[in-house]
Amino acid sequence: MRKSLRRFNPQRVNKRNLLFSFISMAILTLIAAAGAFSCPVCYGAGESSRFDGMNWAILAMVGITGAVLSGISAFFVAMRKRIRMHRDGTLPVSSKGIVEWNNS
Amino acid sequence: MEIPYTIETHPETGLYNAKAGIWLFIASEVMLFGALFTSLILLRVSAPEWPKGVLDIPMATLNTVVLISSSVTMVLAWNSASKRKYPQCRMFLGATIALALIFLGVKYAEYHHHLSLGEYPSTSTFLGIYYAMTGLHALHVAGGIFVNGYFVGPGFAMHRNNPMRFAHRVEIAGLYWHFVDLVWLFLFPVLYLF
Repeated sequence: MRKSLRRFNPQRVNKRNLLFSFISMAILTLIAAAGAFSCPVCYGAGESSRFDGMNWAILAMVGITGAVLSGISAFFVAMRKRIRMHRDGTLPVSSKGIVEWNNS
Repeated sequence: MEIPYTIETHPETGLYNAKAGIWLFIASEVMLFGALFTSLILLRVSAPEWPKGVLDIPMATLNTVVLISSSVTMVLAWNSASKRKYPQCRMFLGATIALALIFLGVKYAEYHHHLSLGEYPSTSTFLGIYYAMTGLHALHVAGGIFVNGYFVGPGFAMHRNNPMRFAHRVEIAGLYWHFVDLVWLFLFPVLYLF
């Protein structure tokens, strides 16, 4: 083992052998993947209620995530504006200090 | 070393730090409950039949009224703290805790009733999601009781040395409490009514 590791030189790897290995791996993957396909009859059939449930759930999750991320993005955009105003000295200041969002 | 921006607002965020923090926390909570609501949608739309009339609607209606009332008392507590009327503030915080305890008491009665009938989370997907969602919500209510209990008890002394910071703390707890209330306002119709 040690001898073989010592003998291994990546610069001396035959390019043709490497290509052959990649092609064989790709073919094997394609053949093996056929067994992993889901059954189109019992899962994912257009008319099933599970299909509808999955669709509505995905829509809900996208909606919730989108709303939260939009809120966070809006906060950062507004913060950037405030930083600019603060740098320019144009940030409105109340008697109590720097005004909050709802008063600005 | 003093913690910065506990009273005055941060010039860049426009919020004092605790308020920015609680909004981020609420955003993460929205994601948590959002995932559970999504699971409910998936289970409900996929199910060939969904049980109706299993849950006690009058009890849940009572709990809704109790929780909305507790939100009102929480706002009154914050208002009193802002105006430095501390005995009133303590009274309203106490009322919020009492209402939250009533909510948990009613929830306990509901759970006890279902469990005595042999209706466990493992009985059906409906009961599974019901216990998961209402249980997590009840834990949040318990968390609110703990925080408000701290303000009524050991944390109340802060108003003498730092009244503004104390008012901010009550405001932060109020924001959390309104979120917990809002979650129930979504849970009540989707689990009990429809």
